[in-house]
Amino acid sequence: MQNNFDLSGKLCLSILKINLFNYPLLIQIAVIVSILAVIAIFLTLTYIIYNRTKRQSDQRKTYEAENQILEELNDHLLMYDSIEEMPENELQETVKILNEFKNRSIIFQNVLVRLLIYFKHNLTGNITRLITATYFNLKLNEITLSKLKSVFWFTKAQGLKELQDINDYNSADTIQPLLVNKNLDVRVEAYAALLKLQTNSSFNFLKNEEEELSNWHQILLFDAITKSEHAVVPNFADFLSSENKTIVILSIKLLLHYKQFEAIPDLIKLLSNKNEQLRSEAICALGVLDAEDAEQKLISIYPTERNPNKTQILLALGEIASGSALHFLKDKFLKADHYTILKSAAAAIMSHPTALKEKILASLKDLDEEQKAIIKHFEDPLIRLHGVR
Amino acid sequence: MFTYLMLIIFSIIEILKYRRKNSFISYDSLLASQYTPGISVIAPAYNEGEVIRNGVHTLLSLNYPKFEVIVINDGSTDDSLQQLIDEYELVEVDFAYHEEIVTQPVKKIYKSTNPVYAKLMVIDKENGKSKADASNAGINAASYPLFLCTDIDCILHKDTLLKMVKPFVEEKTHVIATGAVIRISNSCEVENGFLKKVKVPKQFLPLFQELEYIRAFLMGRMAWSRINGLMLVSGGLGLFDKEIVLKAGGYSHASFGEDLELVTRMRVYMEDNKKKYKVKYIPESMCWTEVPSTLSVYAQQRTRWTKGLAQTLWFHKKVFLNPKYKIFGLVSFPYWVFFEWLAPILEFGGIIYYIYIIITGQITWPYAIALLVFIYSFSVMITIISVLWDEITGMKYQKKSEVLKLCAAAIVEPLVYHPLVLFFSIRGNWFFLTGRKLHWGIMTRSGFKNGNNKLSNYEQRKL
Repeated sequence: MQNNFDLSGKLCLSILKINLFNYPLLIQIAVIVSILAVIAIFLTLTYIIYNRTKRQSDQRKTYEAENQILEELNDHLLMYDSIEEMPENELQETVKILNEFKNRSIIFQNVLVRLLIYFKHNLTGNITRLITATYFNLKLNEITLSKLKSVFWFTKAQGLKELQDINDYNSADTIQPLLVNKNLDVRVEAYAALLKLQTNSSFNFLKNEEEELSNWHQILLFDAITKSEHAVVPNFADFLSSENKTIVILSIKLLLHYKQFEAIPDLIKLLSNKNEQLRSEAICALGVLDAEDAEQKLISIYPTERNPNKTQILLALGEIASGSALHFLKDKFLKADHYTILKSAAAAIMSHPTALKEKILASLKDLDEEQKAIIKHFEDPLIRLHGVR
Repeated sequence: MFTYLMLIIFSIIEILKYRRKNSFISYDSLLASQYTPGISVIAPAYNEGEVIRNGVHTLLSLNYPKFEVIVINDGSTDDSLQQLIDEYELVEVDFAYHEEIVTQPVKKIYKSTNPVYAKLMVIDKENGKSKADASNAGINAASYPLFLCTDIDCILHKDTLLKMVKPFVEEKTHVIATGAVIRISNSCEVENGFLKKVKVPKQFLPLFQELEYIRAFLMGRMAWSRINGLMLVSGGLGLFDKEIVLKAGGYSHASFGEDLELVTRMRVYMEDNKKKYKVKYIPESMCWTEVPSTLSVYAQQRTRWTKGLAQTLWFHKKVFLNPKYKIFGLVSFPYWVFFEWLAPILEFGGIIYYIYIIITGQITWPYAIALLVFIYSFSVMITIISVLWDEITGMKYQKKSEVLKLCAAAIVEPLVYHPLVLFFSIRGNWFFLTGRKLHWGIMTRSGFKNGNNKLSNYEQRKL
């Protein structure tokens, strides 16, 4: 029987071999591609089935690992508020059992890292110290630190994220080389990690980073800085002269968060910067900081700006709302040549204190339908903030 | 063949890049940040009385720090508006509506007196006989710099906005639009507008459309996203830069393929003004929608798509092979001309010629069969690889048998489904060439298992 199969197989092959070389080139290509396509279909289907089976098996094992580890953590770790409450040797015993779990498989190891980080992240008080102690006793930090040495940038970034989550204060030296990594994502994660670990050099990146940060990076760093519990916050105005435009923008966001009013003169200087986006950021910031000193400067640069910055100036004057710019705002409202100018001027007038606002509104005569509609819009409490920043 | 191989390569590179970038990030920072860009979610509705309340609930439940939901009642003749007024405690407001893009007149604008629904705004306008007109009214009233265009019957993943906004904040080049994968909800389990369980469509047409969607989104769109050549962000789910949309003139009322037309016009605007930009796609399933399950509705939809495609390509013909438009003019646009618009015509011509040379004996049967097997096996391979990409990006189906069902469908697709696609594409071209009128039809939908979840009357363009 076996011989028959061998024989027929050889026959088919020999026919194919003889005929294929006799076919026109187009047909030869068609036959070869067909064979390759069939092989690709077969391999893809096999991979899909294998991948499904493996993933389902992994999911099942992960579920089992989670149950076992959670049971151990609940019974012997999370029930205590602090390490002092634990009976003698309880921590060592728990670590011993968890260590056995850790050595069982990579799945157990990953689940253990994930769960400890999860509890560290979501619990507060002394229990977090207990979790951190367990993490280090299990030497899980070594797994995290080994990720920093990976050749793949995204594994390095994963490791840095884990370090931030678990607050591994001893890892600062290991992070240092990553501050000059060629991949910006890795560098930003390294900056964020250092900020979390509160080293002396945490804010050096504001001086050193030369590549432009995306908004995403700025959001990550803003988050890391503002959530850093004991960081000594620098005067962010010091970084407004940076040649990296995105560092200036990030610094403006940070000085606004920390309400650094002493930065107002530097922000006013920034209004003369040749970069339109930086001027726009400075205008917004002056408004948020209620910088009355900046009102005249804002009014003076108004004619030279394009519409997007003009609307920002009007809104900033509305936020400052000292009353000294009201006639300017009224003038812009009455002579607006673009809808956004009209709307921003109206929003600015309407954000003034009632007495000032009423006085100006009373002086507005012969308004057209659009102007009246805008005023009514901002008088309606349900929509008055609609469309304004 | 070469083109499809390139699509396979580019798409997997883009998918892997996305997976790597997302392997370590957390969206918590984006969720908590005051600097996350605001998004206006725009959802037109026409006679959606059966789904409108659940649809709005789903949209209001999106997980994002700064957004508003604008529902446009496009002259419904049912009780859609009254339902919204009652359910969401709406009152008329003195909204200063500015018609930056011309639309049919807006009658009234409503806001809720209940702070819980403060994010909701309802625009009541006269019917504009197209989704474009309603969407444009929403864009006119939108207050945030980005807007998401969707349909009231679409079921969105709760993290849709978070995931779709990421390219806008992540890329240093100006992103003007993003899209995400749209899936078919025909056999899915849905409760009160929320997706409970994803299932492979059971009916004939939806099953094959699911395959088409997987192939189009995970292979086509991802590959074009890789080389910044995307020309289409689907009407069912697209996030756009409002300023660029306004400068480009908004959705075209006259187009039967308004989503393709908008992205094309945005790209033309950016190129004409020598501005750098990107159009991005993310390989995650973020939206589930019901597709036609009857031949008559399917025929109407496909004919309209082809006519819309031909309209758009003809209208923007100056882009074709124009070096000024770089990759858009030299690669994407010609691809759409040859592989999307003319391909069905060429294919039909090829089939006629193939039959002719067989009948006249100009080709022997073995050669004819070899060519047929080549075309068949190659097309099945492309579809099966798309299913693999779907598995890599998320394994949406719980059961192995469901994936195998998709693979089995891929094997018979060229024989039983593709002829339909071909026929209706040619019909659409015929309508375009003869100038025959086509109306935005009413799409009868079967609805979900849960009786409260019947779906939209808008015909949508999704591919």
